Amino acid sequence: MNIIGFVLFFFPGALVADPNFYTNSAKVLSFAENLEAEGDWYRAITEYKRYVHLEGEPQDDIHYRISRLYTKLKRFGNALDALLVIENKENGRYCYSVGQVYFLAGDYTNAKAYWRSDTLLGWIHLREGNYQQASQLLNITHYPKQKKSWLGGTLSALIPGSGRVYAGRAADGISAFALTLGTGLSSYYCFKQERYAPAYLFALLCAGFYLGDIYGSVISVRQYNEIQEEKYVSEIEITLGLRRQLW
Amino acid sequence: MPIFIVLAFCTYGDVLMSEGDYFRAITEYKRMLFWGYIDSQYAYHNIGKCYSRLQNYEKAMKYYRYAVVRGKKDTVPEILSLDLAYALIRNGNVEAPRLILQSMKSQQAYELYATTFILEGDVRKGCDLLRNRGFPCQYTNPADRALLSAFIPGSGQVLSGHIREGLVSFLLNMGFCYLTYKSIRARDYPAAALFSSFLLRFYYGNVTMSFRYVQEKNSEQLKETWQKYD
Amino acid sequence: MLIAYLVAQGVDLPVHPTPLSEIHVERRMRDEVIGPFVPIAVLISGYRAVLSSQQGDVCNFSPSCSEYGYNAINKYGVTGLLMTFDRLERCHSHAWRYRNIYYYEQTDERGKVKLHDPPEPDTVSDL
Repeated sequence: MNIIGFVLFFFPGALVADPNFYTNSAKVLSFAENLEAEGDWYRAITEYKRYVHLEGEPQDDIHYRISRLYTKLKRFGNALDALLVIENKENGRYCYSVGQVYFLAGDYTNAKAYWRSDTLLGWIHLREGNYQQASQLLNITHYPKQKKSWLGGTLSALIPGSGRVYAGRAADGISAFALTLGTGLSSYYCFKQERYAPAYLFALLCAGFYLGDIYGSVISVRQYNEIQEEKYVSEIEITLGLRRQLW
Repeated sequence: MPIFIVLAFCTYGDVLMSEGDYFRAITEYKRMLFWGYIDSQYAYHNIGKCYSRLQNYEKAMKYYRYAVVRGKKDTVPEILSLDLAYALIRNGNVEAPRLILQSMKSQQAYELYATTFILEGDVRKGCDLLRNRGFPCQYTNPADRALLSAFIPGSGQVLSGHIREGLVSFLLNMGFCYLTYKSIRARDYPAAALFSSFLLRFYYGNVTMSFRYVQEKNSEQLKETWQKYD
Repeated sequence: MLIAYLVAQGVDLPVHPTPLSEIHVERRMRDEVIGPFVPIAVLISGYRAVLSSQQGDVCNFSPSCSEYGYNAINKYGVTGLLMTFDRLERCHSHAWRYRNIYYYEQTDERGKVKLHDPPEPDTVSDL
């Protein structure tokens, strides 16, 4: 036991860490794949980079994996950097991958430069809001439901709160109506009782709520339209299976 | 002799963890685990500890659970049970850690068990449990302070150290009370309704703020108690 | 002689007087309220300092209505004033119906769940 202890004391490396873990590229690669499967993407990227460093030669497939992991982490700049070092840039996989990174980053202008197929270009138009061009490329027959923001504002100018009800926000409409009416009536009764200071104060508040309601109705209708567009785009993506085109 | 065995089994992960480099320590433990060069319960336990030190209690909880499940021994080490209970508490869970801690005999486990009641809001029971074993109880029952504020507006805030707010609360509540009374006497009922609505709002605010200040102080005290488990 | 001394010390002296427009731009960048909105900003600051804490944590939204109003008026002027009144009309207990549609939930530093509604005109919160 003493001899064993003596050996272990002077050579802990014998049991501690097999240096092959860090220098054997096959072991590093399988560990990286294990980390990726576990969902530990940051560590997987480190190990993939270690593998590339150990191999010394260009590893296009590994760079695609690194780029995919950076994209999953929403670090699109790093994802593009990982693709830039790829040697073989002539094939379709490179164009598709770069286009995909730009697309997921929301840079549709640059994505169009790399994506060539009708389906993918149609998808970009869909995301950009060019529904006519998207419908030609993707054979879509309907457009998103849209309401008119000027109509929401006009309705609120006539009856406070009605513009918000038109936008689908009935609770906000009732609150706006109650506040405008309440302050207006308070101002009226104060004027009747010749209490001018509170009367003017309530009148000012009533004017503020009235104008704020018109502004709010216009914004509410615009927000409604944005939500409808998002739902429409999502529905088309699911129906046509567009999301399956990504990683 | 034992020190040679400890040194022999000391991995690079242990070295990094002792240096405070928890992120890299996790990588090394995972590497050892993947290649089967380390006891899985030990590795998962240490990964959980690293995540706990990085204050990522959700992941710490996950790895402590792996350590419990994948341990080869029939009984779970007490230190692992304590760490798992602590991670559960930091995640806001109180039922599961109580079940783990009530069968344990150590002082640390008892203290954590008492803090679960304080975390839940039952400060009286938590304090009783702590005093039973000779621990100091620096927690105040928020309900008592709120009740005091219900009778004397602003008193709760003053006792919690927010003197200016307490005085303002007292003046506001008394002021609106007087205005409401005056309006009712003058039979100006719309004005009375307006003043009474303000009175109710500020009275409710006074009670809830007294309650909240004590709760915040208790939370800070709990965090100080928990620091020794981090 | 003073100027010569300062130049010798390496102090940068102004070459020309700052134009008036730039002064106004600088003030805006320092988050100061300008012109007719000063009384409103003073009112809101006074309310936040004295009365806001007396009501408890009653606002459904994060940031609270007074903070929203102060920031909106400071950043957007007249539009900010309209945004403030709009926010006061939207701040009621039934606003929770619109969570995950127009607002997303956010936990504040005290652990209370609120509806996130920053003072940005004409946007839908990221969901």
